Amino acid sequence: MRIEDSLFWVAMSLLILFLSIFPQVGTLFSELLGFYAPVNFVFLFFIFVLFAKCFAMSRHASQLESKIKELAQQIAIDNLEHYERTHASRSLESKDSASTD
Amino acid sequence: MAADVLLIIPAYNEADNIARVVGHLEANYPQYDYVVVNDGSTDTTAEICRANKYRFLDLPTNLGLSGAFQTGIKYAYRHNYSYAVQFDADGQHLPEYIESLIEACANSDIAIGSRFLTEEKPRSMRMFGSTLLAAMIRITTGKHLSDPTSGMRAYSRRAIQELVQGPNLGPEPDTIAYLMRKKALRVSEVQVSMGERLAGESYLNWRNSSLYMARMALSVLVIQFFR
Repeated sequence: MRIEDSLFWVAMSLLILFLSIFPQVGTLFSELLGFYAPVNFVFLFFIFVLFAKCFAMSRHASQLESKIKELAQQIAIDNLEHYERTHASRSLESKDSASTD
Repeated sequence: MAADVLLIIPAYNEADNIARVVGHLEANYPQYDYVVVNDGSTDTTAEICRANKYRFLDLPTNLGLSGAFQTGIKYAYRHNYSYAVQFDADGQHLPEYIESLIEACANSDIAIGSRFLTEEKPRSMRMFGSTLLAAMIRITTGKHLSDPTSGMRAYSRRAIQELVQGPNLGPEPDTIAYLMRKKALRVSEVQVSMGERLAGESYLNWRNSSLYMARMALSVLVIQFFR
């Protein structure tokens, strides 16, 4: 995993470690925010964090898929144009002038 | 005019059909340029294209119909074609209708080869889906399409320019609705008839059909307003 991506998990595990050593912190926040039981606060907090992470990952996967698509399309187009340039005998000369970029 | 037409033929595992379809085009319709888009087929589609010297774009991985078709559109765009026609590799689309499709496209931006413009729509589950889709498109765009799911469409230069851009512009009815509504492209329809698949299984089973309808409903009824 890239260091950038592992940051989230290291931070999360440190947070969980911290909360297990000092459970009073969870109780304090839960009373501060008016929860019935500290466990409700802990669950809600982590579900929210995971929701946010899940959304970010979904977005990231979508972006990666677009990039892969772009690359695959570019490879296919480049290959065909290269083939057409090297085998110019087929009746495509008239079209080739448009593709010199 | 005809030399400005590119037929885009997306092919995923169409080894049984591709030679017949493309061979027929080369022999009888030399006035149209074509390009096969091999969508990472796992069968011998690519070998057949290479052996017969077909003009084909060879995608290194499977992108799905939308990505494969867009590859062809990008190619058409780079080579300055005036019209791009979506043409199936399985023998369902008949090349004799391309001419009337292009004529209609010349007077609009997108021409759809409709099976039910003058003919009556048969009653089946599949056609029910088609009717539902047409209703959704009518609600959001105000235009009635008699055959929104027809895969035989012609796109003008203006439509091609739109299609090369977006990540969500596959050759599907929601794209047509989006282009009509947000980009003010004009859509016309031409009566065509279609052949049966030459060989192989259709991609549409219950699961895929439901997913397809859900995707279309979300796209046409909701997401379209945020694009």
